[in-house]
Amino acid sequence: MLNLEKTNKSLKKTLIAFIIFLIVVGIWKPLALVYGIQRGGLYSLIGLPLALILGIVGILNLAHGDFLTLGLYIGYIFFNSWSIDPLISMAPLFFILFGLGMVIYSILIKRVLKAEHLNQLLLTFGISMIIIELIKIIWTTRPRSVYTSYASSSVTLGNMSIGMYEFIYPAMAIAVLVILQLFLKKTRLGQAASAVGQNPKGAEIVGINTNVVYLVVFSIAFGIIGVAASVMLPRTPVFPLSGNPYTLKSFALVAMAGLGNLNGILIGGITLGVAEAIVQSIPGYEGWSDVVFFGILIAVILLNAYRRPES
Amino acid sequence: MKKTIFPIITILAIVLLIFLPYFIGAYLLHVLMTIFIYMTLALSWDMMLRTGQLSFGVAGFFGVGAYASIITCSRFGFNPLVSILFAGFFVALIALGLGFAVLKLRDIYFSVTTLAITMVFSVIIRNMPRLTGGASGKVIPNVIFNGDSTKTYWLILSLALITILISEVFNRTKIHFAINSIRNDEIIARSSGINIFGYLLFVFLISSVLQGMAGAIYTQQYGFVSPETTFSLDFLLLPMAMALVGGIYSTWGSVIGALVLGFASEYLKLFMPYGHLIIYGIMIVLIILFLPKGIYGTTKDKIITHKIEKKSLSE
Amino acid sequence: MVILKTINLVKKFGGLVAVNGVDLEISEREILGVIGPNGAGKTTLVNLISGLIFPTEGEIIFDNINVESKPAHVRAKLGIGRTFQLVRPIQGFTAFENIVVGALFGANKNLKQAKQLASEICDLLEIKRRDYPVDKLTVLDLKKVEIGRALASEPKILLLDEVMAGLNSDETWQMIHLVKSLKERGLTIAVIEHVMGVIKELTDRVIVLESGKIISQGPYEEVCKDPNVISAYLGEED
Repeated sequence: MLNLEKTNKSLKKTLIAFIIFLIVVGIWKPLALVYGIQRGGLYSLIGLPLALILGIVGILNLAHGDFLTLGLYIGYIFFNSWSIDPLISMAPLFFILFGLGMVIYSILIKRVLKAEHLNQLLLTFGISMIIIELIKIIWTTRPRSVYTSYASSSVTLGNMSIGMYEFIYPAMAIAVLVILQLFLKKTRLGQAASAVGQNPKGAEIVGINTNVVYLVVFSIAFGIIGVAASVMLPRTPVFPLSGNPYTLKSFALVAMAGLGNLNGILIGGITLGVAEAIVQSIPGYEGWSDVVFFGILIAVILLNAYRRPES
Repeated sequence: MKKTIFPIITILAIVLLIFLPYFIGAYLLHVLMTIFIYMTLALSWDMMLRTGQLSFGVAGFFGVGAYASIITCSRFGFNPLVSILFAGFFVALIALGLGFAVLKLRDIYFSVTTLAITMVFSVIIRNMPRLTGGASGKVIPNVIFNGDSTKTYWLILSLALITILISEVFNRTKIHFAINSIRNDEIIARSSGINIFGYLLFVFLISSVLQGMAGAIYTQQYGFVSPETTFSLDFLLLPMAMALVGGIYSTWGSVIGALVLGFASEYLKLFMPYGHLIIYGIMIVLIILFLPKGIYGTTKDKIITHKIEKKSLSE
Repeated sequence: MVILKTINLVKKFGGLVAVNGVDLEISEREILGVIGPNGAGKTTLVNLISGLIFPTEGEIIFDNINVESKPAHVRAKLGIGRTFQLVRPIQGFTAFENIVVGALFGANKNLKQAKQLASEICDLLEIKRRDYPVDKLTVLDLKKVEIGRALASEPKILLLDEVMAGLNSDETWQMIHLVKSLKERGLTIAVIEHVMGVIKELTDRVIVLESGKIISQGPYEEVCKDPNVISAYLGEED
């Protein structure tokens, strides 16, 4: 259920803390700040659809990252077979994943909406495994990649060399966030979706067709995954497990931001991206950067559990 | 009559299993050993599931146990059997520590945290190359029992039988009533005097230790660990599929599931060398959608409903 | 002898004060009625006493022991038993097994003794279809199971939360007889009820809650004439 209790006051506080954090890192480790904003933008972009599905449809899609992988492979095919540039394939990828989302929702997800969470988790876990193995069967584990000249462009500032392409990640994240907020607040369907997210039963009583809302939201979220795939493609190796880690990382963002807080996904994503970049810049500790995400995820979940009073 | 036949059949079955290596070939024996390992994992996963908590930590404890055993063998010269016991003990300590933090969580938060913890184990092991061999893994000079399949088989069989025994204890004694109540209604459980945290910790410890020892024994067979193979999601996916297909919340379910899927998998590997695991994913999806209680569970349910209908007709 | 005592019991949920300084005393073997309009805090009070929630302030003394910070399962073992307004049978168990749960953990019995006790309680409460899974039982049976499970933990005090709701008059009388017989067996009972006839018939003493405070207490006949009580239920007289 969505909890839209984040008042303006606390949003301002978080924003101020966030900006201070960015400034401090900018002074201390400017390169990490740049990388962090870039990677963090990608985490936010990928985290938004998971937040959407979890917040409105109410289900945690453990196959989230694997659908991203699927998007990467489809984008790779477009590039390899028909020379379609990854960014141009953004539109087709959106629609293909959108359609896939409709199918997955109608055939599989719809059936477990009222089931126990255990069953939902197991179902999406099963789907995740199916996708990974399907990819292995069709494309083997050999990594693929897509090369475009613009993706390797970089700028040299002093003795630092910064990749320019990756700035598209935070840009897309912000764009998608703005579009989503407009959708949720200004369109009838979006407002209905918000209502369903906050109170599914109440929404039904008021006459909202929750099934249509779920279908559309689920599909839009998948479409965004397609967009993320197209944007990632030029700079990401494509192999069966490319997208898998993003599932847990996206969930870390949702845990941090709280259900229903899409703005928080952007802030959280960049924060975690920067934190990850900082760890990666410490010589000898590069391998531990994943722990940032898992550690924060576990810490946030535990903190929330202990703060919550007895049931 | 029923009461005396059952123990006799059980004893006969165990004796049969013990003497099996003398009757069957090496290949089949090897398949059985793998099946029993997976059976142990499936049962221990199910034990936690019975408390209502879905744990994704199977592969994690399996891996930690494996590494604990291999490292103590290669670095500290432990005897392999001792190292396996140590692995169990080590996993118990970790589970104890984790349990205090994690067992207050419920639902998706518990499940996701167990998944994250598995990832954390894997990352930690990857990043301590001097101790663990890092990404390339570690090898011990000799596999356990110097490769004697019969003795290895007996070791694995013992673990499987102990696990089955524990599972039955969990399903028949006072513990059964506690676990079932906790799963169904924690508020009632609490109000009826059940120490929920205590029972959860107990089950969590036992299931983790079983998984750790399974990991230890499994890798001692091959004498080799690496983050990729030892923490592979296979050790999560297959046991879950087996328990689901056979029927969760029961001993027989995981046993049947392990045997059915285990043998089916061997057969499948002949046709699909690449990606036969997809069948497990498909099975999980199909079972969740159409047969959530599994083969054994659905059958048992039908029998009970049939009995009640007969009873109410005669009332 | 006072078996349960609360001293200035307060429970706040954020800004909402559900229980606002309740000083309560229940004597051994008495049947206490707890009445009051909806939202008065009756169920919250029961939850505080049984331990499902912890007080913001105040003390709860049971059998001369301070229990306000003890978890619910400990209080159940100490002898506080309760039922729930909406019956909550444990699914997947039969009626009999539900009662066994109470005996095993509340009364700390081993499996054999627990089954023995459960059997006796099923006889006492006249639970007919004891071997049926709970999803196939009637409301009256389920209420009996609810009480049976609480009884099986061998409580010293039993808190019955609107146990009469949903029963027809026949069944209500059965229940009244049952509760009276429990008193005979040495139990102290607190009964939350909306049905005044039941309160009149059953209770030795009544307390009236409104907005989290006790506004009146005494025997039923006195309490129902108290102007405070009348205005609480019916609103102020103009």
